[in-house]
Amino acid sequence: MTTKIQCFRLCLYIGVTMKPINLRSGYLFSHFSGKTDSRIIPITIPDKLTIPLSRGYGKETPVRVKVGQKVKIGQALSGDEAVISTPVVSTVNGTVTEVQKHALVIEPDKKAGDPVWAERPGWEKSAEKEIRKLLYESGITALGKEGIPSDHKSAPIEPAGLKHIIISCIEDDIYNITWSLLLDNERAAQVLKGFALLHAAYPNAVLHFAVDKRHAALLKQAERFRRDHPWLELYAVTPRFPAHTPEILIPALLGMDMPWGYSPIHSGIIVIDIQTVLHCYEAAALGKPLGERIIALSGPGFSENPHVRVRIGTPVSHVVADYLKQGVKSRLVLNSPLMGEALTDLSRPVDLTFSQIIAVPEKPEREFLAFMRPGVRRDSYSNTFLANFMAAAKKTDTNLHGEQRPCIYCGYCEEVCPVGIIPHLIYHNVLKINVAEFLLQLKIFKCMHCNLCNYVCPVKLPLSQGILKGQQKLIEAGCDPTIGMIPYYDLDGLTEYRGRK
Amino acid sequence: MRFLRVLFDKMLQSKFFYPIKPVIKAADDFFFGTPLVTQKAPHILDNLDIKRYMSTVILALLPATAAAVYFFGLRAVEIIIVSYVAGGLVEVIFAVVRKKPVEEGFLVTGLIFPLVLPPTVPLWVVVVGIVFGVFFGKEVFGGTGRNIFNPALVGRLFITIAFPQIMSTAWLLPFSDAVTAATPLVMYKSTHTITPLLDLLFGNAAGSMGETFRLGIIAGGLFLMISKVSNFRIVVAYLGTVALLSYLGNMFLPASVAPPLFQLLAGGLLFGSMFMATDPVSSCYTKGGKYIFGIGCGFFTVLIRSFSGYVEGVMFSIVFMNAFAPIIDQIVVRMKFRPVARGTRGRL
Repeated sequence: MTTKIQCFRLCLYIGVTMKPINLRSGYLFSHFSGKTDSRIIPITIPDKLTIPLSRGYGKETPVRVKVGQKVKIGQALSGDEAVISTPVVSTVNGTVTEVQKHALVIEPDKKAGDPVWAERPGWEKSAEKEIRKLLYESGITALGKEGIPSDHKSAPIEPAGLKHIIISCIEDDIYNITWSLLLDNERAAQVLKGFALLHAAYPNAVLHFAVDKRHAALLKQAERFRRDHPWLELYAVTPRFPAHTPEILIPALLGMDMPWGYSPIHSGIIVIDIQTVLHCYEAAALGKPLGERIIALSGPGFSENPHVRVRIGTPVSHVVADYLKQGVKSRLVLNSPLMGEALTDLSRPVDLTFSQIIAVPEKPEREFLAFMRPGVRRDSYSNTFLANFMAAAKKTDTNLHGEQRPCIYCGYCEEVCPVGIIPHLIYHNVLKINVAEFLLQLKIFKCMHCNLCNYVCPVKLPLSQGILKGQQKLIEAGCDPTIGMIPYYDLDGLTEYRGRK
Repeated sequence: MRFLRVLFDKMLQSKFFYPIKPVIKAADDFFFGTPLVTQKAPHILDNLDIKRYMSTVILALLPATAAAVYFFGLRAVEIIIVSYVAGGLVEVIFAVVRKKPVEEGFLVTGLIFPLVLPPTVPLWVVVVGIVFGVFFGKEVFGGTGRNIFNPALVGRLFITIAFPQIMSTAWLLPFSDAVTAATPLVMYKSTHTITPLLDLLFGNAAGSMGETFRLGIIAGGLFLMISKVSNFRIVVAYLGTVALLSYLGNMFLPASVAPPLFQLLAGGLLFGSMFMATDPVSSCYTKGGKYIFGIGCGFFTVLIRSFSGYVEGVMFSIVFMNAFAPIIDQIVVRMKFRPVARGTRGRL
């Protein structure tokens, strides 16, 4: 790893500023109907906000406010520095009307508007501890998969232990937030200031900015910024799904193996997105608490596909009410059509894990001779449909598009697998046997459940679910996924199991 | 369309048709697709299904089939129809007995099998071949996806060995009724005459029905590889090995080994490598295994063509390598996913 970084530093001297990352496995999605446009529409504050006590990473902490108490925007509602947690802050001015087991209900005071946020003087020269304190108090440290470290126990490690911060800006999924949208006009400058703030707050950490290869303008902008700030490392990444996940980004960018079953933060790495950087700027420079999120409404189930600016705590039904297509039954999916869960309870409040809501039309109707159609608007991994050679926007729906049959060993799942395992082989071995070392040998715990194998399978086998079943069986048998072996064996091979030889 | 829908619904519900429910279900799925939706993530699935997959192969076989009909007339159509009907009956009977859906793999088998037959073959031999191939090549193993050998090749192999007189002596030149015993490979073996390569390319030579029009086969094979239905690894390894070995063999043993370009174009090599060796079920599934499979096929093809009593070795070599495909896969998998700690008993 160190040699790789040294090589990279050497490249700096000879003038190479951007490092291309070519991912070979994975799936390149392109041209889908229902992509988001470039608007950001603020959603009105509802009559009742339900603020969940666990919003992102961290434990639920005791509530500090009482029923009937008036709260101001940015006021801490709960918090406890003894456990790993981040305080929950109020996202509006209002009155606490109810304290539930896992949430607080706040009635917003609509007359008292938000204060005007302006850059506080001297924010650029803040000390690192001060910035981290502001991040903690505004609730940003709960973002990311395992939180962002601060001096107040917001993540499993101390800030000094943070070695790498990876900022991903890759549109690799079927539907994405249009990241470039967050980077135009004055927001671009804000994000760049956010980079500087992160660098000031974590001086030990290296900042890695992974940009979608297709965003040439953004790359140019970042390169210009890099000339004055050489601590930022810049990468142009092929947007092959699932390139935005830590499991793919960390080996590709840092050249190190991801230890299976361990979260990256134990190696001193956090992976965050652009919106988090924007929040960092707002918190540390403007003093604005984390109260709003920009969420993409994508998918053909919506009549329009704007981005919306939502207060945290707003119920999903309030967000999507104006945009859902009338007369079309749609399934709402959170964050990713491939990896995300379906939103069945629309009263669920928006929390920090939301980045987009996708409406996929349900389609139980049958199609006459569907397999014989030319398929101008059908996506497929194989090139058997015309859509792969044309630029028309492809349709999406929840139909299976085919019957389940025995595996024909076409090898598509192996070809797309981003972590290099053979999904159909593991699936068949899980069906055949209960618990076996052979499954561990096939690296079953390397699977990150990106569900690409399910997606491309022409015989519609539930490969990913089968692998999950195998993993669960192994864990039930006492196997530790971080070690990757059944406890019957002695632990000499431990370091090798983690993939670090 | 609505009439069909009502008809299928009534037939699926009635008790009278209960025994042949798999057949009706298959026809229903064929016309109307599936009403099922995804339950968990991924919520969206690829549009490719097994019917599309198999019909792409048929699409790729169309040039060869059209050429067969053009060269050999209605006789070719007769053979294809007989093959589909007889083989389809076996498939349907098995589906009814096993109470499992009719599988789509037969669509390809039923067309590939007649294309590798000589045009003079009696229809009863076609029936025997396809029934044997589908029965012993596929159904006894459990249907499409579980067969060890390519069913069309098993049928062809059986009738080649059982009726050698019919299968290897009566060939036809295109557009003529003159029966000849000489395919280009036979001519090379007996008199060392090389048929002009252009004649081979355009099909002006005796041979099995589908394998004569090589230009169409190459086009179809390329189409299959571009559409990702067949894998380029096997084809490249197979044809490359044949070219290399025949080049070397022709240099050192010109008496028995034919030159590379002639070897590539003559006989059923192009058809076999592009449509039969690439059968995903019976060939290797690992990437490395596919190369080994192709190299093995090429080696045995040249070996059988040059040094055995048979003039054509494609069919034997593919069936032979089919038998070894699982063990090649096992070796490749065990090499790729090594046990993590070696040397101790009970270790992975």
